[in-house]
Amino acid sequence: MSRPDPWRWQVALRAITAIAGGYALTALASATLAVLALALGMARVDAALAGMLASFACYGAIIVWSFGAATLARLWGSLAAATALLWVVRAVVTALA
Amino acid sequence: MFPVGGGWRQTMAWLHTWTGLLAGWLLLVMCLTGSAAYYRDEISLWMQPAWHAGVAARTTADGQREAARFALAHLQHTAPQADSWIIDLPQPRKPYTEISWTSARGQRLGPGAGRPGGNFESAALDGAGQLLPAERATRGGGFFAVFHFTLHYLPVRWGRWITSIATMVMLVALVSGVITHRRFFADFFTFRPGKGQRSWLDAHNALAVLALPYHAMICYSGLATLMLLTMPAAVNQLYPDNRGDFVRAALPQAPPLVAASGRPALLADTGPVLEQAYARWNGGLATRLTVQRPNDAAARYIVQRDEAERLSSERQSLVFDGVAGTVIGGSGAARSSATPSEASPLGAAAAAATASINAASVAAAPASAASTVTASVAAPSVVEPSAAAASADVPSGAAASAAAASAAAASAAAQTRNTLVGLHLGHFADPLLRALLFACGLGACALMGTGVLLWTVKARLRPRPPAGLRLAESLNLVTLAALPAAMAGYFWLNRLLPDTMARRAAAEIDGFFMLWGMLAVAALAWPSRRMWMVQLLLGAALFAALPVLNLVTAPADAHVALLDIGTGMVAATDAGLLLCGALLGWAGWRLRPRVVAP
Repeated sequence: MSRPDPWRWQVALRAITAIAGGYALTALASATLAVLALALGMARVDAALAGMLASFACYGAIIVWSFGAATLARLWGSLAAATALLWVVRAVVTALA
Repeated sequence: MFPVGGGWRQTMAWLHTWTGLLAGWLLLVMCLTGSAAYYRDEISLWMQPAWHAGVAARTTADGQREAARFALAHLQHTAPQADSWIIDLPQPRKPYTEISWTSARGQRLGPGAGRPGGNFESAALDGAGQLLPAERATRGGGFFAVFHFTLHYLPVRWGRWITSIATMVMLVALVSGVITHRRFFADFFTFRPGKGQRSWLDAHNALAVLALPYHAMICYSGLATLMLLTMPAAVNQLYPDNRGDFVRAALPQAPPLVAASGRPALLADTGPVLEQAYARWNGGLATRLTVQRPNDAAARYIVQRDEAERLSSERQSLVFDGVAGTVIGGSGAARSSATPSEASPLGAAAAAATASINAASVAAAPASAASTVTASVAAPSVVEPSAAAASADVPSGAAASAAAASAAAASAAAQTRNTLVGLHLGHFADPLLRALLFACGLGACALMGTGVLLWTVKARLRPRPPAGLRLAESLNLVTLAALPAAMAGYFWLNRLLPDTMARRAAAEIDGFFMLWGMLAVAALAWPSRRMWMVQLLLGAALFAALPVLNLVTAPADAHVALLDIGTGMVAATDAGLLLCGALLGWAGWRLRPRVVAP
C-alpha cells in the first residue's frame, strides 16, 4: 500500500491531539481553575487540590471530544479556542491578584 | 476501523472498543489484585500462623487502654532509653498490638539516616500482653495492595505512571461505553444466556449498569490518589518556587521529635490520655500511640484516630504533654495519607526510593520478621516525585499528623480528596460492606473480562480474523485464569518456603510471578478451551485446598485460633478462599469437553 487509508490518518491525528494536546490543555485548565479558586477566596492549598481533582474529568472530556468531533478542523478549532480563552483568563486573574 | 464521517454513537462504540483493548488486560490485573487488597489485613494474619494461637485483644476503648498498658510495660522493660516508641493499638481487623522503638541496632528505614526515627525494632503482643512468637517474613496482603498500583518490579515512578495511564483509559472507556449503550436500562433487563456473543454482551451490559457508580468511583478515586504525580499543573501554578510548601500544607508531616531535656521524669498514665482522646472524638477509637522521649521531662504522647471509623482518609491526632498528660495540640484538619510499605524485606534501597518519592512519611514496616507484614498503612500517598520532600520515617508508615495546634476544619476541596481516597481504600467498611466492596471489585473484573472476551468471540466470527486475535485470546487466559491460580500459589508459598530463608518475603513474591509466568507461557502456546479448563481447575484446586494446608502447616496450638485471635478471622479467610476455589471450579467445570450430539 503506497498511501494509507484516510481513516488511519484520522486515528493517528486524533490520538495525538487527544493524548498530548489534551494533556497540555488539561494542565492549563487545571492551573486556571486553581488560580480562579484562589482569587475567589479559597485557601491556596485547597485551590491547588481543587484544580488537581477536576483535571481528570477535564482530560476525559477532551479525549472523548477528540474522537467524537465530526471533523479535524472543528476539533482543532475548538481546542484552540478553549486554550486561548483559558490563557486569557489565567493571565487576567494573575494580573489582578 | 474508525468510522470517518460516522455518527457520534458509532464513533463512541469504536472508542469504547479500542480503549478497552488497550488497557483492558492491565486493568484486569490491577482490578483482581486490588480487590484482594480489600482483605489485606485478613490475608496478612492468615499468613502468620504462629500468631493464630494468641489471645485476641478486645477492640473496645477498654481493650485499647489495656493494650497500651501492656505495651508500655514491655517497652519500659525493653527500650527505656529509646528516642521514641510507637504502639499500634488493636483494631477490629487486627486483634493484636504492634510495638516498635528506635534503636541503633534496628533496620534503617528510608532516607532518614541521621534523623530520629531512622532505625526501628519491633515486636507484637497479644491481648493478654504476651509477646507473640517471631513469624516468618512475609508481605502478606500488603503485596497485592502495593502491586496493584506499582506493578512491583518497575522503578517507583514508572509503575505509578503506567497504572495511572491505564486508569485514565478506563475513564474514557466508561464514558464512551455509557454513550454507546443508549438503551442502558432496557439492556440491563435483557439477558439471553447460552447464546454465545449475545450472552457475553448482555452480561457485559448488566455488570456495567449494576455497579456503574462503583466503577466510576474506583476509577476516579484511583486517579486522585496519584494526582500529584500525574497532574501537578495546579500545584506548579500556585506553588511555583516550592512544591514542598504544598506538600506540607496538604499532607501533614509527622511532628518532629522534640528535643530531650535530659531531666528524667515519669511518664503520665496512658489510660487518662486515651480517655481524653476518645472523648474529643466522640467515642472514636485510636489507631496509634506514639511516645516521644519516654522517661524524659520533655516527653510527648501523640494519639492518632482510627480512620476506619470515618469515610474520609483524613488523619486526626492529638498531642499530649507526656508527663502531665494534658492536651497541648492536635490536628483535625490533617489531610494526610500515608504511604504503602515498599521496603521492608526488600532492603534499604527500595525503602529509600519510596521514601524519596513520597511526600508523606514513608512507610516501611520495621525490620523484625514479626512485622514485615504489617505495613498497616493506608494510602498510596499523593506522590511527590521531587526527592526534596522531607520525609520522616515512621514504622508501618503513618503520618502522625499533629503539628498544628489549631484544628481547623478541612475545607471542601480537602474533604473531597480525603473522601475519594478513603472510598478507594475502603478502610471504613464493616465486614458486610467490605464483602460488598469485594463483590463490586470482582464485578469490575467481570465487566472487563466479559469485554475482552466479547471482542475475541466477535473477532473469531469474521471471515478474516484479525492478526492480534490469538494474542488477545492468550491474554484473556493469562488474566482470567492464570492470575487467580498464581494468587492462590502465593498463599501456598507462604506456607511451603522455609521460615528462616534469606529474602523470604521477596521469595514469596518472586514465586508468585514465576508461577504466573509459567502459566502465561502455557497460555500463549496453547490458548485453547482445554487450557482454560485446566488453568481454572488448577486455580480452583489450589484455592480449595488452602484451608487444609492451613490446618496441616499451622503450629499445633494455632487451631484453637479459630476461637481466638481474630475471633474467627482466620476461619473466615479460609471460607473466603474456599469460595474463590468454588467460583473457579464452577467456571472450569462449565468448560469441560462435552460430546457434541451429532
